[in-house]
Amino acid sequence: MSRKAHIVGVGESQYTKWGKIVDETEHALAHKAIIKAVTDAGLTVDDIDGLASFAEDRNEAIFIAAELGIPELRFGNMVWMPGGGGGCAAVSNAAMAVETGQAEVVVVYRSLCQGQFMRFGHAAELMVNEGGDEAAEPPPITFQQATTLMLGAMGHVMPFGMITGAAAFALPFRRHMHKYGTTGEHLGKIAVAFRKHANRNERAVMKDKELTLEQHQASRMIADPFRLFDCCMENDGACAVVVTTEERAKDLAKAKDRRPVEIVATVQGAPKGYSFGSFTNANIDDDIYATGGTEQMANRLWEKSGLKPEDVDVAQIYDHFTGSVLMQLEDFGFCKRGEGGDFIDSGALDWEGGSLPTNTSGGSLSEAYMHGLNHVLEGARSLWGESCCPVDNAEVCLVTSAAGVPSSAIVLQAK
Amino acid sequence: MNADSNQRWFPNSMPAPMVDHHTLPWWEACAQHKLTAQRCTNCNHTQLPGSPICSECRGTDFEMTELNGKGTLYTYTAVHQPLTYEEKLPFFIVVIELDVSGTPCKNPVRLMSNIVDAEEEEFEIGKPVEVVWETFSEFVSVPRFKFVK
Repeated sequence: MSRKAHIVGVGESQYTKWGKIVDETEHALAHKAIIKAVTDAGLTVDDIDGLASFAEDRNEAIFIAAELGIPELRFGNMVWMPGGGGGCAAVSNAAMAVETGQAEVVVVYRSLCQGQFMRFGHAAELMVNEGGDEAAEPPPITFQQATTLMLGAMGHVMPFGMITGAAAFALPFRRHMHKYGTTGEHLGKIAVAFRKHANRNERAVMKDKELTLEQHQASRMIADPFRLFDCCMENDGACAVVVTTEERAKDLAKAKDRRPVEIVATVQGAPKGYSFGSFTNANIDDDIYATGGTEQMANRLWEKSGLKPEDVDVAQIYDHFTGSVLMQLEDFGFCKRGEGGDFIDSGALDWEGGSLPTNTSGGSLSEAYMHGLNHVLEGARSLWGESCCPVDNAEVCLVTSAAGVPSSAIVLQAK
Repeated sequence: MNADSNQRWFPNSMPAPMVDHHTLPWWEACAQHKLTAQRCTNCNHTQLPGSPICSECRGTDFEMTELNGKGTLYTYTAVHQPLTYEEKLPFFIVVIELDVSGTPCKNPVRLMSNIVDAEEEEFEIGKPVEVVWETFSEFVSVPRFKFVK
């Protein structure tokens, strides 16, 4: 029988505002999510023989495997994509591992306790020089040797104050506004749509907080045109996804009265010369500067899967910033380039009545910021009919990872 | 190019340039208040920041070509979130398309930087700008830009 990769279980810890989880370590949270995910699948920790994660994970697979007592680790792997760009690529690697017989059951996981470590949105504080103008003798700024390629790239733009994702992704979106007349109100409608979904989601950090377009438009500016509610949250929590072969998936799905969810196709990558996207690269080709940078990759995904944008019943689009959602919708062909604003205006993303219900659990803007791995969990749930916003007879789900940086995506299909 | 070379817009607490062998020549030229770009001497492809290899012809010989300090605004954002807690808010992060006319450079090249001495209402993509220098020390000057009045 086929070894084609399937998702068979998902699980997460509690999600909270960043810094709220102080009595548990990040790796203990990872264990929790992994155990919940294998239990959800109808498996146990003893069945796991592979672990996969993506960039900047502090919780290395070798230690997680040892602590959990995984009988034999046969596959431990981390994607070389920045931050949230690699979530779907980690699932892709898990799929490659089971399909090539390197492992049978691979768990993809992400655990974040930003209060115990550093808030991603505040990386700047490490680079800011102490003393400053308040000090009697401010230290002169000096050259520092870049020890990694990433630090070298960042080191070229940080003196201009380029530190945060909000500023980095505002730059291409501002150009999108200039070229196509897209507005801050379009962005607001994205945030409001996802919040409505989160209001139905018991797991969502924003479960009880409603958001109106007026509140969005009145919220403080972070990096123009991105306001507070255009930026994803920063959270503590962990989540995990179990990937195994079709052969096992069929039996496991039957026991749970679920349809098997196949990972139909996966892609990862970046356009020529992209490096860390608009974060560090002012010289992205003009043709793709005002996009999510994922169009080539999206075309490959449709080609590999044999599916088209019209076949997608529900989508989980990485939403670190609202503007990146809009540009990805264009990249993946749900509307023409420059028509993302009209697509949003049509109410397409709404669970109720939308043509493409998107981020049905609330996404990073309103469920939790788990570097987009929670989007994969929701992708599987949306095809199992287990979402808080279930889409009737949903068969095909697109899941994407962070755009504007090297990225990845997967298509899931209920069989 | 500033009339007043001691003019300052950002606090000393701003992050310092972090360099390696390939980006150092650009910052060294900045310290002399020269705005440059890395030009491949084989094919004239021009790139920033500096790299060990030309991404077009894979040549490895370069010259730092001095540019005229002019350009146009490619895109921008007004940052309202404090970075060092000492800078004036909002400050403007921009991408400038640098003018390479009068040089052998084959392609225009863009640079991330800041617009200074401007109000938000003045921002318009495509507007002409010119470089001004902010000197932090004998060894470090950072190019910022002003709208050409």
